[in-house]
Amino acid sequence: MNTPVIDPVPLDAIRNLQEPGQDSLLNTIIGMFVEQSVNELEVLRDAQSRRSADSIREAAHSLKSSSANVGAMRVSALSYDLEQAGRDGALDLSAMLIDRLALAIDEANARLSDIAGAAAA
Amino acid sequence: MSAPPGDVPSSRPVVLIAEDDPSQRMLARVALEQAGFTVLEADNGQEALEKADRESPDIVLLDVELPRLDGFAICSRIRKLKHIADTPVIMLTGREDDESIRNAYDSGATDFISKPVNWSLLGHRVRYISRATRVSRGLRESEKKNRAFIRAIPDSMLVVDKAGRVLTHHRGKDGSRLLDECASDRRSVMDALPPAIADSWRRQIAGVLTSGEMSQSEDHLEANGVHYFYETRMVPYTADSVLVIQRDVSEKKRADAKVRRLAFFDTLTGLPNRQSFLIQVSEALRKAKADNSRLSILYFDLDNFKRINDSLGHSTGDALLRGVAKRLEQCVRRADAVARFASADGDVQVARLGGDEFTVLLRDVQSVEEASGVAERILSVLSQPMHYHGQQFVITPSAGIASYPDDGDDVDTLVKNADMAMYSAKAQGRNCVSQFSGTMSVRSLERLDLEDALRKAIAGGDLELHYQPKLGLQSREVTGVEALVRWTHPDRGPVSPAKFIPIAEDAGLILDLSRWVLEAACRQLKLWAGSDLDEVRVAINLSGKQFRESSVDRQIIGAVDAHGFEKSRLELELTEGTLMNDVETTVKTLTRLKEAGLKIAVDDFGTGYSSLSYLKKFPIDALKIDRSFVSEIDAGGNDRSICAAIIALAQSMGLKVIAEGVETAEQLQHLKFLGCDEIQGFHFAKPMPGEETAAFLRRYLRKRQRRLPLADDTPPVQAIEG
Repeated sequence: MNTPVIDPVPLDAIRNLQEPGQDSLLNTIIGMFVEQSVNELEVLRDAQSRRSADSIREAAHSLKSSSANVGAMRVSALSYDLEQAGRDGALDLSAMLIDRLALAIDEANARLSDIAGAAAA
Repeated sequence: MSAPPGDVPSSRPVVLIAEDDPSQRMLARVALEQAGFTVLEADNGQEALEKADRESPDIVLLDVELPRLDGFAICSRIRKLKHIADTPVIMLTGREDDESIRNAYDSGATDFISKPVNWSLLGHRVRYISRATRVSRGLRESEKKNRAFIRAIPDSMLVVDKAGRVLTHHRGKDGSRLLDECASDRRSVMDALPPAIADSWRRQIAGVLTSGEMSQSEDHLEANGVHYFYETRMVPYTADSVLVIQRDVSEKKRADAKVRRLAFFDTLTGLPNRQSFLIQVSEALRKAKADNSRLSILYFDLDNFKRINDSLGHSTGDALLRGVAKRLEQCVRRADAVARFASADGDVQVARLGGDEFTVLLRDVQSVEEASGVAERILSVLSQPMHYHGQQFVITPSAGIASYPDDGDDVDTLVKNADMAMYSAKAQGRNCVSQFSGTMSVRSLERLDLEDALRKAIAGGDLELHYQPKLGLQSREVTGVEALVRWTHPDRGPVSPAKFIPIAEDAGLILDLSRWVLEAACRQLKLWAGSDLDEVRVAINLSGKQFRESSVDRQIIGAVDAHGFEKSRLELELTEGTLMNDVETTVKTLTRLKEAGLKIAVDDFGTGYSSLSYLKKFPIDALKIDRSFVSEIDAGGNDRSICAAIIALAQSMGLKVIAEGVETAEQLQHLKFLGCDEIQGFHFAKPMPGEETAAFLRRYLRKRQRRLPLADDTPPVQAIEG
């Protein structure tokens, strides 16, 4: 996969919004994403088990956008593929993509947590 | 990152962000607040639409995919809500999501930002869009104002390209239909405008585009017989088009023309008035002096107009004046009238100076004969009978001519001399043309004034008959009265008959005057008829000219008949000269008058060359000894002998003798001694107005009646003297 796990550019943009003396905006956003991505993954697995292509598409779309927002490009790319699979009703493909997405989320969240930890330190 | 001061309006603009993803919503809020916006949030479509409707945000950011109502639907709905319809809406779309971007555009979005959003740039981006919106909103506002402004402007405006094709067009209040048609057909105005105006426009458009300066012109269009006047202004509009503003000034032109017409034209006839005539003459004179040419002024006056006006009313008079004006204009236009002048336009001009006076100005006249030829032609045309309300009128004009350089070299002199020549034409018997000549200037202006005033007096007012009683020396009765015309000039007071009667004769007024006297005497006789003054006889003087009129007998008898009194009570006095002029005719006329019952006396007897043999042929009743013999009767000279001879002659012919101008008792005694029948003069009574005469006659009548019983031994003359 050529797509990087984390693209630093969006994160820099968020850092730019940081105002002095305030809580770290980046950390907050990363925290929100980590929590959201875990939730969305559960929604996706549930949808897959219910074989609800629509629910898969909605959750994938949402994840595609929020991951891109924090530079989690691999998550975002997989979410895009998953969104298409959901739209196409390709449930076999979606099952496979969800498994990959789970790995990508773990990887991205680990990296993001490192970044957040470094920023907090 | 904070908003630069002054870049946003004083109150923070409000932005509504609709985004279901909380982290992105949060980032948007932070970014936009830093950019100086107040942020409203919505996490679903329904809420977003409600907030937009309720809060009227200055700008709206919509995520495409939102629960309950997607971004496109919200945008479409916002566009339909009047109070927020022009709010800028920014759609947040997926990167390279062509379909979303197209949908955003179709649903009326102002702009789009693709995700993932570069948060550090979002604030700038929204501020730019917000400013662009303010600018375009300002443009729309100012366009709206301009439209209102243009709508209120009465002028027509059009933008044309180099070839004159109409690009845009605003029809003015009184816009020319011509230009409207061009505008609707996208035709070039050059095809529709008359060639002269098209040429001028073409030049102006090219000039304006090259110079960048405004150009101004006045265009005159005629459509369906209506004249339109436009003030046209042209200014460069774009590099290759021109704004044309056309103001319809037709009304103003018409008003100006009316003012000019009132100032320079006679309202009755529409001819140029005195004012403009004088200007024309002065211009023509300048030109004549410059190129050594001649010009002539023809001055016309209608001889009998005043009588028509007075007797038939002003509306008839006005109609005749209009008729004369029309004929004059036709004359100068018609080729056969003044051929050479008609061909050269503007060489001949007609004007009405006022009253019944008209003038014609001839420029570039070759000879005196040419001018009088034109005048003669005009006279003959004007003398043709005119008809008005079934009546026929014959106007007899007189014309005078004065020419530059012979008769004057300034306007006043020329006009005055033409006027004088016209009076001279009248004096020559009217209805003729007279060239000005140097001898005329001997006739003083005072005299011309008197002529004019006398003409007015005869036409109405100012004249009066006085009556001088005559006394019968034997009977001691008043035998009659002589009617004498008196004129009180409105400014000069009484004018002596010795002065104004020759003027009346010269000016051709004597006939009018004689007729007036006849009428007035008849009115007086009619007044006395049937009263105690029933037997009073009135003598009037007949002028030679009147007597020579072929219809004089019918006129006089007709006048008496019209008033209805005994014909013998009207006595006619004629001078020897009058009688001797054409003896044959005189005998016939006198006979007819005599047979009708009128009395006839020879006036001023002894002063002329009376042929006694002729005198015998005339059916006359009396001789009046001229006052010149009476005044010297007691001086011991010849006059007493002449008086004696006249009295003897009269007695021999069986005629009565009356002595005029008796002023003293001595004169009276001599005349009585010589056997004179009657006397007239200041010694007995002066001429008096009608009323006073009547009072005198009654007083005298009573006196006589009282004295009647003792009358036998009282000499009658002494009774009078007492």
